[in-house]
Amino acid sequence: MKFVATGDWQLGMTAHFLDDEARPQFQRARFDAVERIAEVVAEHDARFVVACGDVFESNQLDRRVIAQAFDALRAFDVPVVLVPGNHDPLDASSIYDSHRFIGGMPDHIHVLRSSEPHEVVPGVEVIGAPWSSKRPQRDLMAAAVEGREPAPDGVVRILAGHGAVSTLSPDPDDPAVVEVSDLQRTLADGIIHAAVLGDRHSTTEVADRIWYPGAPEVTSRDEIDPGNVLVMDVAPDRCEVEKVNIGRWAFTVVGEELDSVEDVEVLRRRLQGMDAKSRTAVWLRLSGTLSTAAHARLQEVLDEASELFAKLDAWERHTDLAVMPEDADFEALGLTGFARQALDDLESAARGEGNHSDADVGAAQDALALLYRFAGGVR
Amino acid sequence: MRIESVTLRNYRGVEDRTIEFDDGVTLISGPNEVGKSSIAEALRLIRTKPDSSKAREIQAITPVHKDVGPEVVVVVTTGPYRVEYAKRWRKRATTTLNVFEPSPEQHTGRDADQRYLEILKETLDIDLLEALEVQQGKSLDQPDLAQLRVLQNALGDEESDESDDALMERINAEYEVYFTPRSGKPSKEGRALSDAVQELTRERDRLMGQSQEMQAFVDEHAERGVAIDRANRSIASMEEELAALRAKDKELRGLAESRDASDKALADATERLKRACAARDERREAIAWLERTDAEITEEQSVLDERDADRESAAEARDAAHERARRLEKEQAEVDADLTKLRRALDRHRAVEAVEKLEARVKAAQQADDDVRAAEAQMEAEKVDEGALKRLTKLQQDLRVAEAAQEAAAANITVRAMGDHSVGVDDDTVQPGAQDSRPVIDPVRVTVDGIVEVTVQPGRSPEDLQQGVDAAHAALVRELSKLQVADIAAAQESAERRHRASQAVQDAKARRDQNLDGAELSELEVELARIQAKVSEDAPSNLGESDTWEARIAELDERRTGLVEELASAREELEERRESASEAHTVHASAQAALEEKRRNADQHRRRLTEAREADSDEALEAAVEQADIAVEQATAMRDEQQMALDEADPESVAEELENLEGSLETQEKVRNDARERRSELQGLLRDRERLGIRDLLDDAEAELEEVTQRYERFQRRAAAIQLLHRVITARRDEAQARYVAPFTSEIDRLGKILYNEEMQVEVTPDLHIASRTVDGRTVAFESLSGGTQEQLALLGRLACAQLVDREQGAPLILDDALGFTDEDRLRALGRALAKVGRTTQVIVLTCQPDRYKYLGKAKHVTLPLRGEAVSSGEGVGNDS
Repeated sequence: MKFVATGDWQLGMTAHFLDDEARPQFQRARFDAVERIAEVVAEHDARFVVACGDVFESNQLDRRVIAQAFDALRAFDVPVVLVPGNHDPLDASSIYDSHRFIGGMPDHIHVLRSSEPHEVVPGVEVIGAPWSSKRPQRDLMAAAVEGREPAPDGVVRILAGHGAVSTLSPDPDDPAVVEVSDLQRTLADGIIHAAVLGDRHSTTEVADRIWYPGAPEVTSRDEIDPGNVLVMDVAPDRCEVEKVNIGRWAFTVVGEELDSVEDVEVLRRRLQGMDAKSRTAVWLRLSGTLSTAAHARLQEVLDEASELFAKLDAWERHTDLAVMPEDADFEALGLTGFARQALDDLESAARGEGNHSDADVGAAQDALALLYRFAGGVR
Repeated sequence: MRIESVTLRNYRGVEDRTIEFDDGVTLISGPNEVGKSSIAEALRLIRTKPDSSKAREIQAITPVHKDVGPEVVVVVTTGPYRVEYAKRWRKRATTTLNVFEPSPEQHTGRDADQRYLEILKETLDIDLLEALEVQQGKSLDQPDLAQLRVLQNALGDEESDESDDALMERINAEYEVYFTPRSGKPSKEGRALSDAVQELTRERDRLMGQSQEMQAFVDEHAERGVAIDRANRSIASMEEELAALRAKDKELRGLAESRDASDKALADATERLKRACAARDERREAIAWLERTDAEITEEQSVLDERDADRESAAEARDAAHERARRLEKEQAEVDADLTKLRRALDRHRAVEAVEKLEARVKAAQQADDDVRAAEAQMEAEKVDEGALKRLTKLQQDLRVAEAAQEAAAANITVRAMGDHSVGVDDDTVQPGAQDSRPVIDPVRVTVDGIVEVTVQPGRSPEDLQQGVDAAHAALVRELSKLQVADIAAAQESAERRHRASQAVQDAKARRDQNLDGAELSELEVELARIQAKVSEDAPSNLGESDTWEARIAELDERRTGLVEELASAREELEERRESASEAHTVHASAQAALEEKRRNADQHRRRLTEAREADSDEALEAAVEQADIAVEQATAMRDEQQMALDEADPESVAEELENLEGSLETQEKVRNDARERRSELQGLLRDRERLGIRDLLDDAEAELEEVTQRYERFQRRAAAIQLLHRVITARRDEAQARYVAPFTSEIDRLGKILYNEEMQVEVTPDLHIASRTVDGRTVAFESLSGGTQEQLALLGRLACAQLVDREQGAPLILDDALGFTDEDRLRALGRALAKVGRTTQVIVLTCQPDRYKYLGKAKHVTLPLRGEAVSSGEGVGNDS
């Protein structure tokens, strides 16, 4: 029995750091990803889909997102089980309780509002551990199976929930942490046959039969392995998992050490060589020391590249790049007299000589670049 | 640079004129309007305006009534070049440049212009060209020398070149993108970005607040849900407890009702006991009362018997007193009768004596009364009384006065008897020798017996005198008539008689009054009649002698007085006895009545007691009391037992608990209802917020804020960079300029000595403007100096500059009608200074007053004729050619 495990669709999510043109495309990409999951279902002959929470980015979204979601969900011809997570909990503002959702929900969509076993297809039960608030005070996965008998013969049971597991949680004191050992015991007791969770956007095997399928489309540059869904084949005596990549977007951190104009060229070529630039956000982590001239070149390179990528976070915040004037830079410009003296002053400040703050040093480096440009060094 | 010649054709009013210049000083003079200024102007225009120019300045130099274009040809030497540059504007516009040295070149049109500029730029600083020209009317303005590179080079900065200017321009232009040029405040764009960041931050925060508020509603909604569950649980358990408590309360109520019934039974028994006691006590009282009353009746009967005796003795005493009083009254009546008899006899006896005396008085009085009447009749007959007599006498007198007045007015006759004859005058006789004199009022008859009779007739007397006499006479006659007397004498007699009658009346009246003694005669007569009647009564008999009567009366009076006293005391006693008897009677009667009443009352009670005993015997009443007492004891015991049971069950705390629990239940229900109500309210609020799509708005706002923030940060970073660059380079440039100040200042000071023949110092700013001049320790700001001095100092600046600049790189110094403010002495000194500068620099002086410049030393002097075609180029003062 095959099904597709997924989660963290985060429909309605935007990325404010993206450029103006890229932002709507990125938002659209999440709906496109849902449609591609339908393709995976068809390709693998899966019998249903389980989405483990955070289907929607927020309960505070404009309700138009429901129509868009239903439109994307029409691509499925198998049941799709949605389990509310921490971004879309079943609280008083729940998107699942809105008139538009209840009124327009297609028949093959099922929202698990309790932990009663839900027979999604004959012989398969899904037990959901839905979130009813943003801060549950206990392990909802454990609560969902508490007191349950082992699955009857001939029935496969899947536990679907959301949240951090004890082995990966950054906050072990969080009462909502999902205790992995409890899950394993439940599995061992035959109460369930597999557990899938949302919340972690990178595809992760927590333990045997315990999986995070991850987000089908990247949402943050910190994610290790996003853009996947899991095709799971589960039986009481079997659990085969296939990871299928469907993500189209990439959030990439590019680190380069730049110490010469040649290094700048290497960076330029590296950026040039990247695919799908309009769906790629790049964070540069640049370090090293460049001459004023080389820095001027770097800026030209980055100016060009930023026009191609969905995002090129080049300067200021993630850069540890020093710009040091070199005599050669300015010699060709032949500055004399007071201009030369001003150049000397700025060079001294740019090297941090004397009583200068970092901001002063930065400003001096920038001023040198300007001087370099105005004196005819560039263009 | 040196200008060899300038040719003007069809230029303003000049048809065709060529002026050649000396290498040193050239003085060009001529009256106004001959086109001196045109030379300087032509040098500028040929350089700055292409032949195609339609600029206002070109229109201004075009001749008005000719169909020709203005044309300028200059021949200049600059650096290694010697060129002829010719330009015609407007009509058949053309430009040509002939380079003669160092190697021949020819250019036309734009090429010519460009090449000429190239040559100029290569060999000199065009700014210097402009700085060294003193245009007409601008001699007080100081030239901008600080940016002159040739000067900078001359002053020690050999590296300065035009690229510095371009650099500064770019830096300033960039700076002005970020800051205002003067105050260095953030530019409009910077402010707009900053404002946008603030505005978007506010918007983002607002939306964030809305989002958080919505989440707070959600959280509260959940909390309220928990509260409702909690309340529901409390309510359920409370309702259970409440049911148990209510059952117990009901049981206790039953117990309390029984206790209340026992209370009632006890009260009834107590009441019955009270009534039985009362009945028994009443019976005892009735028996005791009857016994007491019977005893009293016996006692009071004996007292009544005593009272009866008292009453009888009092009646006897009263009767005795009555008898004594009656006896005394009788005795007094007898005395009174005797007294009456005696007194009547005495009265008659005294009346007989009184009648005799009274009869005599009446008679005398009657006689006197008759006399009065007779005398009064006589008086009545005599009319003249004293008053009438006086009136008559007065009237007589009046007549005599009237007559005397008449006589006085009448003629008077005096008759003297002569001789011995007597003369008769009327009835009188005048004896001889005597005389008679009288008035003639009536005819007077004078007779001498026998001899003569003369009658003197009176004249007529005045009428009023006559009337007076007549009136007096009439009045007298009338009065006499009225008094019925003939004349005055008769009147006097009558009056005498009347007086005597009056006296007689008086006498008779006195006599009568004496007899009457104050009474009226009629009264006396009545009295007399009365007394006479009394006397006529019978004389009493058996009374003895009348002279004993009075003594006997006195004796009887005395006896009567004694009797009266005795009778009064007897009557008093009688009254007392009567009162005592009456009182005794009353006391007895009332005691008797009381006793009888008492007896009746006692009988009545006795009857009642008998009847009561027939109904309930004394013994039965006593037994009833005993029985009731036992019943009370029993009821008390039962009630106490029930009360004790009730006290043990503590119904008050049960009721309290019940009340408390009901209150708590109500509170919980209210808590639950409030929570429910708030939940629906929150649900409503959430439905409302839901529609906003806060998250989408917030995402958009954050994206926009992010973008603008980045732009702003980049802007600020660039601003910081350009600000720093601008600050550093401006400071360095100012420093460099400041270094030029010293040599420039000393050059001005040096030239100043020539001009002022004295120690003079100027202060020069970094931009090479003269700020002030100091002479004899007095420093005056440039602006405060006189026009002449300002003009001289401005020129000195130019001279210093011309002097300092490298000879090869120099430009001609052109003075167009300058020094108009300068006096003669200074002009002379200035001439020396110009001549000195002229040794190294070409100096061209244009003036309409050549006298001003007569001390120019060796100079070429060109005089321009008024509208002349030819140019007279002659020898000026000290001209060396």
